[in-house]
Amino acid sequence: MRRPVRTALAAILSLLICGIVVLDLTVLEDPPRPDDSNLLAVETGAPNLVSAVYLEARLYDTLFELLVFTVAVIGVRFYLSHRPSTARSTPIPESHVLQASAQILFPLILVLGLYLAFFGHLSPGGGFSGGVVAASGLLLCVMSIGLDTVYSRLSGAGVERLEWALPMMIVAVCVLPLAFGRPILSNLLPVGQAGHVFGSPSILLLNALIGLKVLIGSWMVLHAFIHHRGEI
Amino acid sequence: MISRIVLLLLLPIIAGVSLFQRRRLAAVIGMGLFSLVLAATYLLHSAPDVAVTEAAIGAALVTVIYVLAIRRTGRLLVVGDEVPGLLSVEGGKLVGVEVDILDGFARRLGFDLSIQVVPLKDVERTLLQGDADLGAGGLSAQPGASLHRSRAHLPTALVRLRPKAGLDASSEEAPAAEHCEYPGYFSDLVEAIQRNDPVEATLDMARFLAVSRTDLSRWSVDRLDVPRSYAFVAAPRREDLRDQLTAYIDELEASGALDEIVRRYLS
Amino acid sequence: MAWLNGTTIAMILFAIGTTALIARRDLVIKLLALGLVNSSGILFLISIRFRPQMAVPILPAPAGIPIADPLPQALVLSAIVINFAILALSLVFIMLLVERYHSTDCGRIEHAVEAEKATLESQNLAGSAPESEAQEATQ
Repeated sequence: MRRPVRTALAAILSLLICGIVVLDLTVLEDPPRPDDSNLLAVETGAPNLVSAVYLEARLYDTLFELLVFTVAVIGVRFYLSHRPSTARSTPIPESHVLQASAQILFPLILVLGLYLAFFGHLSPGGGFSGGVVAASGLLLCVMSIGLDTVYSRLSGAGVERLEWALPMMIVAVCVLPLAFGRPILSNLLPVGQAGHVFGSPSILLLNALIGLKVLIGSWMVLHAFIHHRGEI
Repeated sequence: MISRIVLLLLLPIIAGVSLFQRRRLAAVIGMGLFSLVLAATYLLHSAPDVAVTEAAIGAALVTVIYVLAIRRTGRLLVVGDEVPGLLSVEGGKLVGVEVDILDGFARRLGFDLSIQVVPLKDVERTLLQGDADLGAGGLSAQPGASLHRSRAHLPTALVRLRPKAGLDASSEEAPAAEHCEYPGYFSDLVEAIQRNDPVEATLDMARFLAVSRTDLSRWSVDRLDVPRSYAFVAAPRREDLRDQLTAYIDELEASGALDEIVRRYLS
Repeated sequence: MAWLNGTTIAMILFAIGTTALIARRDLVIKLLALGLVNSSGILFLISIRFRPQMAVPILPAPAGIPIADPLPQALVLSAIVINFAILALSLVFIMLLVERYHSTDCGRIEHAVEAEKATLESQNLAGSAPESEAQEATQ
């Protein structure tokens, strides 16, 4: 059918579906729920309830999401490795403003990423946020000093091994309690006082590992794209 | 409270405007802005973790990989003069037979096409200086050494225009130029002819067709009996470009697309 | 204006996203619209249990104020990150398509694919006919 008719039909259909959902939501009321957030914080030792949920209560889901992330990164690298690079080999000379500001900003962004990852159980943040922020700092570095320079520091067999070792370590942290007679996916390290930095060491460890994994994965994706398409 | 409502109202506006843009780059940047406003909305909905993640991903990483994915690597720089039917500016856009051929060629190579209008006499000089990759715009003369001429895509003939007022009995036949030449830009020449300025020019058929719409009673029009044809000219040391262009025009001719393009603009 | 909360806006965004997904012909913009649909789902999940003036789900919380629900936030947090990775993968596929068919217009790509399929089928038919003739010749 003709395009304006199709557009209008799509809009009406989507709004209709949404209208049904709205009706459903406004008619039903959620039942009153007891507030057990204090219990959650004390049990896990993490005041940040979101971290407590996805790294303790819902750890199983987080493992599979890491698996999806790993597979997607592998797919990107695989499909972009066989194509000949169509990029111009001469890098674009960057202005001195960008280079100077990147020299100042990049350590700060890295520190921010580390803080978000390591203190994710105390304040907003977490492994995913920390890894992504650090990856955007790497992107700033690439834009200012060129891809080859950054790649020469961050490539090599060590990084590759780290990339597949990290999911293994995360799975190991989750499976290890089995060896000690505890149920799987539970805490092995002792839970301290809630609000203390080392109050929930397993959540801290998992945040750090996830942050590192997300950083390396995003860096791999960015490198594949920039190498294949040319510098920004 | 107010800021939350304002941001919530802003979200569909930004999304609707940016998704229905004509250019892809505008849409990508609009969605980057949308991610930023969305991150602020998450913050005002008491979800700070989600806000930090969305801001870092949506505004920085996603926009960058979209821009990298939609860019065309490389540019093809073409210079030429305007010729109605082959390469002319109509309504702010360049249209014509040669524009279509060059557009398809650039798309084939994955290059961005950039056409600049320069006077006819400057085309060869620009190519020799290395400021352009291809010459277009109804070139029918044999180019100088070190320039490479592609295969012809249209035959043409030459017409010589001389003002009748200057043709006295004492005028001897100045040797007709064997190639198309006129001073400056073609559009200036058309205006000069319309003003009845005494200009002399040798034009090829496409240009002459454009000029012949005005009243030419004050000029003597002689048709020169030399066969010529339009072709593109490649810059020095770009024989690869010339070969690829020749192959592309061969393909167009074999599939009949060349005739269709010519018919669309020059019938 | 009780209706102006995150859930309804998320639905409007969903409608805009699906409309753009169907109406626009450019593959990159379709992908952008799909990302918008994703974001609208995430906004919906976060704002379902949100009432105005709720506190951030980080203890210690100010007394007397209810805390926002941490469960949907935890669910969507990792979803945003893997959305990025999957988006990168889809962009790789789009780049491969563009290298092959030199266009991001979905109609043009469809025609090109059908033309290729038609030439492949005609080649198959032409390939099988000489084989049967050779068989008859040998018999």
